[in-house]
Amino acid sequence: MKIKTVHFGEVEIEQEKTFLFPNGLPGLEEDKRFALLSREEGQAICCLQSLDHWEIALPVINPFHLMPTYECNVIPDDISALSIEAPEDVLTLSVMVIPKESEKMTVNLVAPIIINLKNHMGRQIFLENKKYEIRTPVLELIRESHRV
Amino acid sequence: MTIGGDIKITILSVDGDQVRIGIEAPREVRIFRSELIDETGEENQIAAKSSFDFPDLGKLPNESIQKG
Repeated sequence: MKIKTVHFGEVEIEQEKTFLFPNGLPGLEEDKRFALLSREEGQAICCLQSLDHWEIALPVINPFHLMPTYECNVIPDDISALSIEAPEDVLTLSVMVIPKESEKMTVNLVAPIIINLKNHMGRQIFLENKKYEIRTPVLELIRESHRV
Repeated sequence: MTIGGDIKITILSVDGDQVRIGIEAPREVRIFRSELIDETGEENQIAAKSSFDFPDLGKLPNESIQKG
């Protein structure tokens, strides 16, 4: 299907690249259908484009790229809500805020988005880990996590 | 105080207007401050409206970011 997007104009997307969030996302409860788009294959930062309101698109990144030791604790309630059968079916994404001065970008490590790639269902969850912050500076995180 | 048989709430200390509360619950129950939902909601809204230029994180010094 053809969709209008914030960052890529009109694009053709395959059904397999669209996801359903039955409860929407916090703050964006009316947006339940999203597509995951990237400028190029393999790009670290992707874009979660709403299919319900074309002007809504969130920059997202796999948090494990930024922090290899990241712990995303999926609980039985998530497993049953998304009908998750195997851990490898789960895609984890963290929402980023990228201001004009992009070096000040932050990532929300408290509330990752998890998606079951088998049935394309997703939800945003909240982790108990007190070490994680909603506005984690990305560049500092990379420097700390990848220090040799 | 006990909720649902297996969630235990205890007042740990009271110091002036600060109260420390302890919550014991099974691992399958997620406990988090409800403000986190509101803060994440605000953050999602800011994220959704930011006009970003896809910073190339692959250009950062450590190449391990590009992998995986």
